[in-house]
Amino acid sequence: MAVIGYTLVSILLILIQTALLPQMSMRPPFDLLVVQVVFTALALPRIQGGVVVLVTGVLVDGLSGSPFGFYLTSYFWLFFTLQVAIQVLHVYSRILIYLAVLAGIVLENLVALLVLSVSGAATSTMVWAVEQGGRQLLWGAILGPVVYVLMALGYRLGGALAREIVCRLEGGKGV
Amino acid sequence: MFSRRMVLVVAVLVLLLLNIAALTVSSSRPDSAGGAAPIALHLTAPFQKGLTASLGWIRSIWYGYFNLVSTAEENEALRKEVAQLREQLNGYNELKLLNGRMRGLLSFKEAKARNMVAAMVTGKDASLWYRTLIIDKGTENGVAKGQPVVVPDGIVGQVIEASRRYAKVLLVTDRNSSVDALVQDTRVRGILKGGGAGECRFAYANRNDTIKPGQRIVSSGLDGVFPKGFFIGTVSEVRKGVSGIFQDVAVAPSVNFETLEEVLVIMSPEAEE
Repeated sequence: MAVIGYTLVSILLILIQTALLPQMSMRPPFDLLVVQVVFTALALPRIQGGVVVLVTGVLVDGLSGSPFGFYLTSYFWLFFTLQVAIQVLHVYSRILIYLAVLAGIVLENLVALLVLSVSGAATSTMVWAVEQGGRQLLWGAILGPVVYVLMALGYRLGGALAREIVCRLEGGKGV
Repeated sequence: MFSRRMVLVVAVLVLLLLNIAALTVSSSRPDSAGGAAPIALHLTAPFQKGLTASLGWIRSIWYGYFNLVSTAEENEALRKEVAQLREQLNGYNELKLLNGRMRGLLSFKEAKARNMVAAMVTGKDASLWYRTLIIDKGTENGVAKGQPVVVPDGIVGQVIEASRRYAKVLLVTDRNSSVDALVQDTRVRGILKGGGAGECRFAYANRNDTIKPGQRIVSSGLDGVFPKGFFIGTVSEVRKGVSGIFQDVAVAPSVNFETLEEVLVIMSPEAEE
């Protein structure tokens, strides 16, 4: 159930990034799915979280013009690093979440630079990619916590709604 | 012999190396998504289409209402413009007839006009480094990989993936895109490559060739993908380094990709049959 819920949120975020924001002539300031991966790593058990991250990565890779595996790699290693960090540090502080979002953006940009360099990008393209990364990091530092709070609110509301539906359905069965 | 932690660290390192190797292989192949792309398109494109259509509807009502006020003035200006354009068209018709006669004289065969399929843009690339579009036409409409995509303003790109009802289009501004092109008036030939950041580069133009800002770049038709003579963009900057045999030419695309809503896919001859 949780896997389905988290995957649906991933799809919703993909739709926001690929359909809603472009309709308003906007580009996402940074990859919002990084926040979703952080959320998944902190909230779901390893296997379930892994499935959500895998599905999210495959979907974004399939929709994007990037080489297949680009997003899968970024999301998987962010998820894995967070799992290890949680086990070692045993903390779920807000600072950790904030740093995890920023680390996710940095990791994704590093993978982008790796992919670009492997595919023989010109120096100007690499410089542009680094600039992009800096800009994304800045936006992530400003908007990351806001997106995280909004998502937490959404998850709480969604969870309450799902529980209410389940309660009603179970109550309905008894009648 | 080995501790559990040691084995885990080695396993992680091996996984990391395998991942980098897979990504390296995938980077060198433009169609690396394989079966994942059609699945992703099937799962998300219908929702993208619904969202895009709903937002388009809301926007059309909004603009329809607010634009009504300025429509009367614009209408008047357009009437004048239409009158001028009719005169111009008359001249062009004369030229067309002359061109037809000349072609006949030179025994040129009239190129077969290709069919086009109109498609709605349902989504744009989730990535910040790559430039692609999702359109709502797929293999069941005759859309196939490699077909060129255009709008009246110029070339948009080419189809790189097609599922049954949706397709992915690589924009000319993507750094993986290249189009065989010509400077329209001087016929200087080069390869138009995407720059990634919204602009293009006219590569392999000899530094002795005269290229100036403002000149139009059109497709040459020699790459076997894009038909000849389609407008791509305008030269925005020319830089000649101290050394090197080529010059660095920046091209501003004629198409505004941010506001693109509908496109035309040019059918390949096989798809028409």
